[in-house]
Amino acid sequence: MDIFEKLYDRDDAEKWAHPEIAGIYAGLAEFKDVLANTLDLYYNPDIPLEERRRAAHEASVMLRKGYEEAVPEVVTRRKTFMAPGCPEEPDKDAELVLYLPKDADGGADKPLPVLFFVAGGGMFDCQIELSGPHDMADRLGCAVAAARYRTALEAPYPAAINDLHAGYQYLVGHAEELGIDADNIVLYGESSGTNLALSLAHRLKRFGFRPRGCVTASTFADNRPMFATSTITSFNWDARMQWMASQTYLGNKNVFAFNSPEMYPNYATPEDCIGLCPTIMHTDAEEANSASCEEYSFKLSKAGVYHELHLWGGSMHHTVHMTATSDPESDYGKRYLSVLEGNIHDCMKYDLRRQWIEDLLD
Amino acid sequence: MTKVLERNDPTRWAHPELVQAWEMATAMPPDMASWVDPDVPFEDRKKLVDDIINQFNEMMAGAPMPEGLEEYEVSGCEEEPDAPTVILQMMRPEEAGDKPLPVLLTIPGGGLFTCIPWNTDPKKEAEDFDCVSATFLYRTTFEAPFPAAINDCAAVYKYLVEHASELRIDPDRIQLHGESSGGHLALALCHRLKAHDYYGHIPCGVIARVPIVDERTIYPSSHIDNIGWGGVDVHISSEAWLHKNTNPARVPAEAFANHASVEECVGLPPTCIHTNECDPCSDPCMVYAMKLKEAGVYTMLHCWAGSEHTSLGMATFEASYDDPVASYGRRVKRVVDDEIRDFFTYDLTRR
Repeated sequence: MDIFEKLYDRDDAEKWAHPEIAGIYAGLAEFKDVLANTLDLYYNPDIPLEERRRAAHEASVMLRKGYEEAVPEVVTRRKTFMAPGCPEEPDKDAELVLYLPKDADGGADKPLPVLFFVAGGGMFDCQIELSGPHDMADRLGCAVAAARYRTALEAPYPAAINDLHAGYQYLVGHAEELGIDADNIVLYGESSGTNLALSLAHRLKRFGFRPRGCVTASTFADNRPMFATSTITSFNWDARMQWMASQTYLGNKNVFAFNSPEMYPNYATPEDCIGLCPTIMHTDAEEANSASCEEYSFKLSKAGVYHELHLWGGSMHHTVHMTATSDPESDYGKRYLSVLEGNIHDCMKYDLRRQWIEDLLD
Repeated sequence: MTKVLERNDPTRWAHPELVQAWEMATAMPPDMASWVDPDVPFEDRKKLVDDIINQFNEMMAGAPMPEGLEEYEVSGCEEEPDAPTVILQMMRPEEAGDKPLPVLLTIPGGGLFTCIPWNTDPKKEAEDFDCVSATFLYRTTFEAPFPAAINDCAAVYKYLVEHASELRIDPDRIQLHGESSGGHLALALCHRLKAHDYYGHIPCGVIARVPIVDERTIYPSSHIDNIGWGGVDVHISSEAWLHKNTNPARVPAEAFANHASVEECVGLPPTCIHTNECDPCSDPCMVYAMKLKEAGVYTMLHCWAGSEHTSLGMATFEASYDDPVASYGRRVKRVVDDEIRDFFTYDLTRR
């Protein structure tokens, strides 16, 4: 259909963006080629993996170094721990970083709730520092913990999930000395951290851990380009990029129909979702991934999981989020943030887990 | 899985701040099954519903009609020129003078069995959004089935557009708003209006709260059982709505919006859909939103957790920005209010 082909391409901010986020939407367009070239290098199977890994690593170190010099707080407030490996890969330790909110007096009061942050970075980088975890801790008044997971280039699935599992396990096991509340940990992912956070919820369920919730911003629920909206292209991320990344992440399992939800959450059956923690997904309207979130949401609905889904109009992948965190004047950004942070606060304030569902099914 | 389909216990299913609203919303469920019972004569069934409406009207009799409410008589649309006159009620903010104002046109809800206007204060609404607040009564399924109510809605929209200058309104900034069956009709109306090229003026936005977008039981959520508004109620209401006028296999989008193909959604006005986790229409709402998105329509979708069909609306309606306890209701109210302002402020139609 001619008309639809004309509607696939959503790069033009003037046509597609909500006016209050058009600035970032259009600004990102300037980096369109840079991003495309980067992904073509990192995920090009014709280039030896070792070479791609080195390039991604060098870029990541440089980016992080630059940010740490510009924002020294992100270093001075960082506490680093080595978390022993999870049962699936006991010999591989994972680095866990922890940020406490400014006014926390060393856990002397009440133990702090924790935001378990799964950073994004297109699966070729784990950009914990660049997301301003110290700011998140201050804004939300909770501890922010993040595991530096291995990227798809460093090691394929399930390396990243194993690292996140190890980090979570360490938090729970050392809650008292860290001054945190082991029964009040909320998973939170951004961009490519979202499918990891949602998959982590399945992994944690399998091992009997019970996070308070899982909140995701700019969500990927699936790697397969099989949804109606998979045809939508936008330069900040689309189905082709997702496919390239997941080929490196899942290797020859990329095409399996019966994969585990620990790979991508939407591989779950409704049965797999019974007893999952409260799940709240945010997705953008001018990008490819929303329909996979929708399908995953059906399964959560069927399984009776406390769940919420938001589709933000006039926003390309992650654009409303970037506006909200960088432009305090945008009403649209503020509205988005009030919902996103409201979701996190709700999970921490109330116990929204529906434990009784599991009891019902026993 | 069937064990989680029954969603009647708010202590299990509701967001903690919504438990009370959930209890209130489901305390006295109407016995809709008896309203459509084919073994009962039509007149007797109609009387059951009239009694409920009369009771409601008596209850509301103490509240005076707001001052400054203007009434207009609207005759039928071209699909049904002989339709009974529709009474359109409009309220301008006090100090607006003669400048042409945008219009917030609210389509009332009520399962299509009842139609009761003004569950918000029109004066406050008009002043809050600096707009004309308008509403009307359409024919319920007891008076006439589909497409009567859609004809009434279309007649009102056409009237607003054609009489814009004497009504002192801006025909390019008419916004449709509806909750439950009102949301259902708002979305369906857009498909009707599209066929008429919106009478030259496309609505600047549609906000449909907990709309009924599909009567088919093909989605997981269609089977949700809730005393207030569950899958069975959708079925009962839709049977009366579609009646014998429509081949059930070929229900048009102007009867239930989610019957639209993606092609039929191209060129629709900007649309915000709010639905709730424990509402039987939550899944079809998402499916419809994805069609809108694919068709390039400016689309917002919110599926709010921990609420059935009406509890979140009640909590939101009662919530004020200053109540520190009602943070959930406040959050939702803020999103809805901002969306209304957005539609009036920016041109989000994608012509």
